Amino acid sequence: MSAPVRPLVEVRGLVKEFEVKGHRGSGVVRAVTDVDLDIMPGEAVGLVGESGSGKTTLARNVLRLVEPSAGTIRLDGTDVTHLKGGALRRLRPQIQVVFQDPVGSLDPRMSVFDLIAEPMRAHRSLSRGELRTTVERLLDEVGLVRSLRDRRPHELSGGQCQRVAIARAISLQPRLLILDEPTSALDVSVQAQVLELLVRLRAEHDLAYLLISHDLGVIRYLCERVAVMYLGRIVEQGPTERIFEDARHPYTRALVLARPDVDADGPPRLLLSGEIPSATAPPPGCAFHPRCWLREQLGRPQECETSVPTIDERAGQPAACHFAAQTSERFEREVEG
Amino acid sequence: MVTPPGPVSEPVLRIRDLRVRFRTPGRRVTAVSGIDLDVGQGEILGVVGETGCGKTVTGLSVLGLLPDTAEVEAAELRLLGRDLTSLTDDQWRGLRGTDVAMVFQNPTGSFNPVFTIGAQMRDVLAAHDGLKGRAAAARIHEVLTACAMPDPDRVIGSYPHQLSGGMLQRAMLALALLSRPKLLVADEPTTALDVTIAAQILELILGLQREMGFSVLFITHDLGVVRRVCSRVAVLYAGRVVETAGTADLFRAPQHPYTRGLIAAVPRTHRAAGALATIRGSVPPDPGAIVGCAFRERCELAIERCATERPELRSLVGGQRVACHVATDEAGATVAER
Amino acid sequence: MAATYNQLPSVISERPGFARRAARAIAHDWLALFGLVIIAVVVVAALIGPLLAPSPGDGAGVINVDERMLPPSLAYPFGTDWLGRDMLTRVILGARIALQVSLIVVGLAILIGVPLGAIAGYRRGWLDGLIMRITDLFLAFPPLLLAMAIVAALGPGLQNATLALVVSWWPWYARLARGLAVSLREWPFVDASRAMGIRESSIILRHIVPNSLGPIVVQATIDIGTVILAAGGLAFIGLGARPPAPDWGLMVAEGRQYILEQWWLSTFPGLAIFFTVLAFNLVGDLLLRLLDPRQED
Repeated sequence: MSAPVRPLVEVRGLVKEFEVKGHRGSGVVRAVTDVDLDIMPGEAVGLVGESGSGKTTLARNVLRLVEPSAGTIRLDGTDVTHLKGGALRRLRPQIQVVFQDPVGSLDPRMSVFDLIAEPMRAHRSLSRGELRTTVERLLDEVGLVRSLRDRRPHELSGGQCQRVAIARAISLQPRLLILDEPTSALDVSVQAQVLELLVRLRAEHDLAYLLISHDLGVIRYLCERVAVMYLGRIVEQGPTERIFEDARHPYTRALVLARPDVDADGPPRLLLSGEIPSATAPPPGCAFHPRCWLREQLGRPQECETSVPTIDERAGQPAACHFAAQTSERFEREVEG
Repeated sequence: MVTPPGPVSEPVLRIRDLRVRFRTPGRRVTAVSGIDLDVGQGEILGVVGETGCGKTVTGLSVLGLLPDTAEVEAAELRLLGRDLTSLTDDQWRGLRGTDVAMVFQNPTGSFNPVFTIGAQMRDVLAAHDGLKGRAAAARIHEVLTACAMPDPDRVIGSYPHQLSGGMLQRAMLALALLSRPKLLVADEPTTALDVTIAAQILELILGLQREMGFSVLFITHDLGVVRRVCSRVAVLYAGRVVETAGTADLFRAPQHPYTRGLIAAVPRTHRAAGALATIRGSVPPDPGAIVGCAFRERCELAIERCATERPELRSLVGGQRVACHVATDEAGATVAER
Repeated sequence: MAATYNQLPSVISERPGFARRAARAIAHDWLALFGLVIIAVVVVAALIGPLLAPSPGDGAGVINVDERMLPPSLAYPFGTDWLGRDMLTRVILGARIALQVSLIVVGLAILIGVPLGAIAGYRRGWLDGLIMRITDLFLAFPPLLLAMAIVAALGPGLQNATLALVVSWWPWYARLARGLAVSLREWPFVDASRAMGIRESSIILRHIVPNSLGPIVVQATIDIGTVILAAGGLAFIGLGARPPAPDWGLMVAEGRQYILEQWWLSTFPGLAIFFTVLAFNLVGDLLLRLLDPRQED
């Protein structure tokens, strides 16, 4: 009987605000509000959401590229929320990142070798021979021929650049890899190769992933758990299958169904109307209520405008919706009618 | 999927053996090396492929929007029966907007930031139809409403930066449809949009097409979008068409190995994740220089003939056309049937 | 054991190396070629001038009163001045002074300005404000006034004029470097380095500055010409090199009073300045086209 495993990453009550200077004077915009998220060791968690959902900001907070405005982030039990300087630098090897822009995330003046070696040069003291051996091993692991080691990023394809970024990210043997739209800029066939690589690496290195993507197919392929964000909040979290097959939040259902199906014909079974609200002018109460089909069906109950729903697993509220318990049943009615 | 149109009539767009090369210092790059396409009346033809397949270049050639470094040749490049290969700038200006119009991936870049939406639409109407004043305002309002634009009057007076991505895309559609073109070329119109907004725009395009009857050349890399919107599909690889078929046939029984590979490589949203098939290798850098089939090096089924002889598009029994030695034999039977 | 992926041998873009692109660009652009040739001539004159010049002593104070004020001839292609010194020799020897001054000024301006600008641009915040206000302060002084102030304080001469020029020039590089740093810091590769835990100083030194080199080198190339002009101007008003130094600007000034009859005294040094500055400008344009690693062909 093993001891309960501690989450690798524990986020509680995270808030991130930005100052915005508009023509109406300055104000504060909340990009992320009240986020609770756990990532277990070796687990792949997906973060989905559209513009303004705050998913990228959340990832940047977990990565500590920015400092949270409120809330806590724990890495393997250690509170890293306000770490700075040397203490923060020492923790860096544990969380690494792969960005969306394959070419832009690599210094255009550096060779592939130097790019992959950079983290090791910063954190470890390896001899030249050891460094070379390790870089070559990493090139092999991500499926790049060794002769590419002297090339510059602009001489590589998008897929090759992304492999370099991945090689660099795993060079310090991190425990968590944050992937921000890692394949969005790649062709479908190249994306498939990179996704396959990510699956393999995860198994071989027991990596945890925090995967951000607007492509639900990619999320479904790679992740075991998914958190859905809307206007800065996590509106639903759960196992991948449930999110895709039996979501409790009306937005989640609509989001999944909005994606055209490669394997079937027909219009989307749910079509949301309206625009995505801006974080500078969030709707009162539940941010989703102006576009919510469930609210319409239920006759526009007052609560949707007056109180902000939150997830409360223990109280049986798996999604941030006042009427989450009715979503499944009401959904059938919605698509029939 | 949309049902294909009725009896065959004169195609709106007819392309035979289109070749486009770009002159760069020191060398010529072949972008398109022999594309055959037809877009029928009232049809939405999907042109799908990955980077370097030539889909955007093909779309731009239909509007004469290729840069000066482009050399365009075609056995036939006809829009509504009219030859496009040797038009002057003035002649192009006469065509654009009235006969053919284009919407692009990035709506922000398509509008002039210092003019209001309404002003830009008025300019277009005045230039193409000679409409001014109240007639113009009425037409603008009509088209914006048809594009499901919330609060058209406010949008008319707004500047591009004041509108969201989805609204700008609607505005771009409206701008394109102002003068009732017969052909709309849409280059990745929803790729830059959020998922729920993209879904709205796709339904909008379908609705507008049903209502107004124009044809669409729909360029995209997204197979899900193709299935939803297009009635027929042309699959491009390395500057050539490798397969064309009705949408239902294409997805039910794809014939070309590349098409099969592409469909199998898409991670599924609506089914539990199975294994993802990959196509090994990558797109060849200079397809114009390749002898034989451009897909050969990545193909599991390649035979000797593929290295020496470039496959031409041939019709199969069911109406599909495939450019593959292995997929078709002399009798037109498919691999599956053998 | 991970299998090596089946990577096709064909590379996505065979981009020719810098040397080949440079050669091709020069072949297409005769102006750039012209500029390079002029610069080569000036550099050779600067390096081995004393060996090439017909009468090297004439640069150092030798006087030949018999041969004074001779117009250009076969014996003296640029004529002689009022002290009988061979003008061709003096113009050749002047190349060394011109290049020395300009290279020192531009070199020091870069060494001072670029680090300050890069730090300001990357750090932003109060440090940015502080550095930029100091920069603005120096920029507010007209170079000539600044030069006069320094010369008044320290005495005239080429060394002090050089110092004055360095003080006038470094703020431009600080500004340039800052602008580049501000845009570079937004690139994902900078975020990637921060996420890797690279020290800030390392990021500035190894990522920001090397990626700023393109525009800085272009600016420096053109500035070499501009500094020669400025140094010439200072010499012209007596604040730079002192006689009998064969400084081009000084020679133009000295020949001014004789310009109507002995036109060659000002003209040849003037032409030397003109062509040298032009050449550096043309080559600067060439470099601008060549140095962006992300530029498409």
